[in-house]
Amino acid sequence: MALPLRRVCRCRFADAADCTIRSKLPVLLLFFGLCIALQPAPAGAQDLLAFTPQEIERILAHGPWPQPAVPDPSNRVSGNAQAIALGERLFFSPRLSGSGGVLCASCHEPWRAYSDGRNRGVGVEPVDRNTQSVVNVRLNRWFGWDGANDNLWAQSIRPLLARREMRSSAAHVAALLRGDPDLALLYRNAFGAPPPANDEALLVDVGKALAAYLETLVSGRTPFDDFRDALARGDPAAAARYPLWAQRGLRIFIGEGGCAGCHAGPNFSDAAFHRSGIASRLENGDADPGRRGGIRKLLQSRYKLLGPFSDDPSRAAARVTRQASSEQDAAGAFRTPGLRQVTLTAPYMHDGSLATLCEVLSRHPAGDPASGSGGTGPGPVALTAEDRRDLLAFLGTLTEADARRFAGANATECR
Amino acid sequence: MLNLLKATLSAACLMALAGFWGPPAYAAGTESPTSAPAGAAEDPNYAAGKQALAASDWKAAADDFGKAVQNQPGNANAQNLLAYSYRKLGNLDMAFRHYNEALRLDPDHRGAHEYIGEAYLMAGNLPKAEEHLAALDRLCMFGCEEYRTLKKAVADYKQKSGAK
Repeated sequence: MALPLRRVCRCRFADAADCTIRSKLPVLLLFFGLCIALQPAPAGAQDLLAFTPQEIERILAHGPWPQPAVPDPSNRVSGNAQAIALGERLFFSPRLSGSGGVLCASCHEPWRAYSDGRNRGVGVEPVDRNTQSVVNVRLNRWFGWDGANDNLWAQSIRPLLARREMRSSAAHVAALLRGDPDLALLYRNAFGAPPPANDEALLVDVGKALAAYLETLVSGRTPFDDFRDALARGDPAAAARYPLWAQRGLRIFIGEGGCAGCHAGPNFSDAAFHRSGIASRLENGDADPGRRGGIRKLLQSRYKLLGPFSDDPSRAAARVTRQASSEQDAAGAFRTPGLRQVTLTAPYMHDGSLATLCEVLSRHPAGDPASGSGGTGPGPVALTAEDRRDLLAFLGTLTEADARRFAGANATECR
Repeated sequence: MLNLLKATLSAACLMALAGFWGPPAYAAGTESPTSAPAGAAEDPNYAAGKQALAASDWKAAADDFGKAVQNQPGNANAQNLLAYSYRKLGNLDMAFRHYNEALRLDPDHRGAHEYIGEAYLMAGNLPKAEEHLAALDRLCMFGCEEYRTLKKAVADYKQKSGAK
């Protein structure tokens, strides 16, 4: 007897239509029916909010994505395929660390969107701040929570030398590159010469190779990008496929929530520093000085764009470095993180003190939607539960569709 | 709330169906049945690599799995076994690179969590090994061989090193 179910499940039943299966059919039919009834409604055309021209202009400012790759003029191997290969090899090498057991990927784990899931990072020892993802790091103007570096290769050197992170040294790194035939060959391929005799020069080149690799870590397109591009080309049918909740959350994000004042541009970061209203303490018990401490470190650094190791003779990019010492309100301020892949990078804030995005929305200071400024506002945004739900739906669409299954359930829910 | 209930019940249905008619369980510790590209036939280099592993010929295994990941870079099983081969050859740089790639492709890959934990023990990084043990604890609700193996390796490491 031909069974109706065989049309649905031909492959499964073709080889197994025995009495065992048949005896289970009534139960299975009930089970199938229940499953089909419980399936969420299929995605299809939905409604499109009536965004004003001003709102559309603000939305379009968050793209296009991805942004074009622009080589770093301060790094002569930026974009060089051989240097990228060397940098990738070094990124996963525990031998760079003084202990021999910590690799860059110990904290920037690819399976956690290149962050580590901890409140505060742990290298050789625990550190003072939350580990930031290095995805899309090439778009930063300042690096680290406090902007203590003004270029990516210097930022790549910093954890190598930090006592609590990789606890290495120029001599250790240089000995590794010179002593390992594979690494020495990769170096020669990347830089066109054997590793130099000068330890510090070789350390800087290692930083530049690591930076060349990090520049390649770019997140993919997201549902938001599809929506944004549909608006850009005037395609309301395609735009209407973006969930309504996310549309409402986006409207709050660019409007009354004041979020876009700081989380601006294609990477959802203004690359500037703001006080988040969350104070934390350093290992020695002092208050974390944030950007103020970062400026002090920057000005002392030998690896800044104004220093002797930049490959950009024009020093054009160093203009922002010259202006850093005149920044106002630097104490306790931290760099605005980008929001792409944000559902994958919990916990949040510079000290990792907020476990979920829901907590962030409850505690984060408001921006000023009128002025476009943010972060130093008067207090937490007055959001209703519905607002938070919509904002979380929007933030969820800033993660690649393929990667969203990796997000923790509490990343986009308020409980 | 209703949506959450629906989603949970739907997921339970799919899991139950997968368990009812799903593929047979693979040998623990190496392969994840969900980590090969959908519909991909087993690469002949992958099959050769497994034979080399069975013969403890780590160099041949690394060569074969290296070719397999060139053909199927999205195959987390091949990435994991390539990493394993490199680890057996003592090349931790390449082992960590490919274990991480296996986990990037499949964050729930139990074999990769076990093996990278063992690699971290080889490098002397006990906290990271324990992190992956904790990940396996979450993944294996009723226990699994990968969890037990890494747990024993961690305990042995602590005993030898005097760590707590």
